Amino acid sequence: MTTDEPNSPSDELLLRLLKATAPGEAGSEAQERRTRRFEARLRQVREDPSEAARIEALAHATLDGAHDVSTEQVPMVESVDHRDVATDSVGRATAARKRAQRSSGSFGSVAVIESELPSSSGGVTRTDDLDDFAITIADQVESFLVAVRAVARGEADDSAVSMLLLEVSQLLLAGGRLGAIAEVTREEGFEEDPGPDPDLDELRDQLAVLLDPCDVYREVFDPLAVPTEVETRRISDDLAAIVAELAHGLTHFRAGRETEALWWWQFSYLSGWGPAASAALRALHSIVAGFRLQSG
Amino acid sequence: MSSMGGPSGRFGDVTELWHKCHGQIYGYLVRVGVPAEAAEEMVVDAFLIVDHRWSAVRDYDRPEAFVYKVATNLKRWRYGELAAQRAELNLPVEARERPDDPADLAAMRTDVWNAIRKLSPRCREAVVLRYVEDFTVADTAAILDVSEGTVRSNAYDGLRRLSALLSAYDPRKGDR
Repeated sequence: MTTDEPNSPSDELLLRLLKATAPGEAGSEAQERRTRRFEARLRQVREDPSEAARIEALAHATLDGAHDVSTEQVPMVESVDHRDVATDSVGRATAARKRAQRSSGSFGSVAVIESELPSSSGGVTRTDDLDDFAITIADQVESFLVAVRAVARGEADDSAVSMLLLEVSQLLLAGGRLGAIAEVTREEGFEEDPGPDPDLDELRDQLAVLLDPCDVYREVFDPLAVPTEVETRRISDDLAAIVAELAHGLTHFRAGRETEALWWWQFSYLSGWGPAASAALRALHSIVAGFRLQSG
Repeated sequence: MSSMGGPSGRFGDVTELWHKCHGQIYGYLVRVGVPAEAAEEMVVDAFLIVDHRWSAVRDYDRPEAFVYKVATNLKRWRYGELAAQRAELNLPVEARERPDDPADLAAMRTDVWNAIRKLSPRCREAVVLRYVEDFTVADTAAILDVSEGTVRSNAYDGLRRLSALLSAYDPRKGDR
């Protein structure tokens, strides 16, 4: 059985060294300043119901395990096989498809999303740069939608979180490209109705169950705003919202409206799915990093 | 939590508990990698949470240990493990050389606490609580919300790693 008691003169010396050099209190002035701050805050909490509610929420989050994610609780963070994370020359995520080829499930089937979208009517025939770019983005979008659907159905086994980290990262590469290029101008000046958006409640619920208890996280609403505003989010909500916006653009693309699709993906990257993916990526990264660093 | 329980009533209110141990809690947070400024705020929040739970905490045998637990959870909640790991890069001011340090202690302080920051967050917490704050294995386990075996394992691993990182200070190695 492992004992943590010092068992050699070197250990004893090391412990004396630790105590002798331990950083600690800066001095009585700092203590008095901190005490004044504490007393003022205590009065504030006792007099202001909104402050009391904030402390109650903080107590709940930190003590009642509402967001206490220990190594044992973190689900689905096994690593992804390195052969799965290869990307092809245009940076497309191939993990989902490669896994599909090795499994008997429908992981890689584009039909997963086609069933939710209006049928494809237009092929891509124009060959100018923007259309090539649209094809590349559409491919990355499609890979993401396929992969997230499959992960939600439980087809990624114990690698679900790692897979989502990979897929969201890949998607943000597409987003970065959309954000970096000049503004795409619509051909029509208005958006043609692409039909109803797919119902994503089931996907959201599946992801929420899969990610529990790591689904809820906190994010700074606008990192440049002062004062900062912290908001509570769910990775499952973010992913479902991202899927909705990407699928909307893919509907245009499949109907032959490539420029409209590109306009939508770019606009919604800046206003909707971009911030959601960035926030979700940070949360997913935190889960994976926390697990690996703790278990390493 | 059981080791923190039991009737006590040593502290009339949270302010008394504050005066007893806020400096210790601040020092602990700094030692486990929380930047000094954030530690100041976190200590205050930890005691406000304790005040919120005072009807239970006042009867604990060792309410001080409970404050350590709250502070640990706050640190994890606010910073996450990743941020704690990242804190390695920034040695807190309190751990840097001080002008009034004896010459040999000055460099030693920096070396030792740079080494501490190279431990994983879990090992760092276990080492600091066991060997600097002098908590028992049972109390450390209760504070960190892990099993006693995990505490022993993390503290042992941390000690071995520190021993390797600070081997220059071992007189038997004869070069310092």
